[in-house]
Amino acid sequence: MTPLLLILASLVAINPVPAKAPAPVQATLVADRSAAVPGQTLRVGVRYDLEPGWHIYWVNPGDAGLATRVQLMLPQGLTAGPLHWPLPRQFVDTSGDVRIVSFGYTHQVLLWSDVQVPQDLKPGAQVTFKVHTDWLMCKEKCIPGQVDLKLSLPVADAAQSAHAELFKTWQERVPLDGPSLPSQNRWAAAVQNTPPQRETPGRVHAEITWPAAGGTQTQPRTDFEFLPMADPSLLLSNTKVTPGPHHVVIEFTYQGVDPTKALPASLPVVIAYRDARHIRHGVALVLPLASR
Amino acid sequence: MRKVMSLLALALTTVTLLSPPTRAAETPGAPADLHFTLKDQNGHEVALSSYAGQILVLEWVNMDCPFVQRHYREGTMKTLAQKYAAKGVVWLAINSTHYATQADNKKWVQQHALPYPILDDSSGQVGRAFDARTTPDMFILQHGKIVYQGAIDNDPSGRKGPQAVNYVARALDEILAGKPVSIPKTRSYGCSVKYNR
Repeated sequence: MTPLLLILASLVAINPVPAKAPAPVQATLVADRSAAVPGQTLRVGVRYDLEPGWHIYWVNPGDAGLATRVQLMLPQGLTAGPLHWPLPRQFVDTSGDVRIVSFGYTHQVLLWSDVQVPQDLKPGAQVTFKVHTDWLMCKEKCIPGQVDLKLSLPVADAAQSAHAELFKTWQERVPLDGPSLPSQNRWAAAVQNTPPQRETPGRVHAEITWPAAGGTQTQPRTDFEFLPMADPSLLLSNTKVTPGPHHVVIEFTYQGVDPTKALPASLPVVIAYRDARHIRHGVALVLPLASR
Repeated sequence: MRKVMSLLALALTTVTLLSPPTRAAETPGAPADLHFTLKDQNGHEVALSSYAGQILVLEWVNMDCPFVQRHYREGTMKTLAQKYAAKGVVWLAINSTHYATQADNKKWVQQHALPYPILDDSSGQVGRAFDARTTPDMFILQHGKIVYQGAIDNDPSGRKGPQAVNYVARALDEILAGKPVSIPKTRSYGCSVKYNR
């Protein structure tokens, strides 16, 4: 360490900044373009930076927690697609026989929408994006957090990319849509569904397969996880994940919370796995529930 | 006789441990294990079994949990407990937070002038027996059987206001009217119960 740095370090030690504990989660509004270009799409989202040990929650928080919420308020004429949710990790608390499973993010995550900029926007003008986001952050204890954010961009004929690495990193972690993958890697679910009857819960047995890439041996896939999307009208139990060499079987029982109401026709789910290089991936599928 | 009973209890416990993890709490209508005695905020022993003949509400609580704090700010639990106490319903709050003390429970009871006790289950034994997973997590027992288990209402984020459906009030109204509980199980929401490990 140079003498100057030593002096600086000792100054800091002697005269510390008045202590206001930093919030465990910082939220920042970001866009992937330096300007809004008429007729083009840009991505606008919230980057959450978390202190070590803390986590926030996925769209389905699981047995405990609360989904992170992003409300994007757009300038007139702009439209946004749905929020993209990268593959979350699982948190499992166990005590004796009790197993509490929740889903969320540690360290960092980006939640964003694709925003369509209309043709008739005039270069030289400015667009302002406003976001309200709230979340529940938990370490051992949980604290609610919320913030209102603003980001202004010029309207221009051309734009440079911004936060390219950040968007690339998180785009790669969004679960792929299984049925619309290229045919050599398309995921399919063969579902046997026994609908619920009176006191007996319904039962789903889903054999999920993917073709061998390029006709060669299927790459090993391990560490399968079943992540159902949130549906408060539905109770899932007895979840079982059975991996096979070229498929994985997902089983669960289900019933509606309110017996007087119709069950949802399907359940969107994410299957997570690790590839041969131990990299974790997610594939989104929709499992039919109600009998037709 | 007592010896025989405790041997029997031991045998039952052993069987429970060996059987697959399908717990009473997962099956409304199943008999609840009420052989527990816990201490309230004043150190008085409360035997759950002494309420086996009554309509009993068990509420899992943790004062550090924002979901619990919101319901206590809004008076959700206290209002319900008072309303249904008049109709003979017993309300007990149970704190299975591993670091919570009897003094913490006492402070909370006093601060909110609660008409019901908070029982110390910092060992987690009762929470685990009921498979309580969140705070709040609500159980209603009638004739010693679980007739409702799940959320206090359908409003995890607390944004629905008067539109929210309170599942516990609904179930208690049905029970008191002599009807079966129409929604016997919901997904509870809240913080995970902070059990000791």
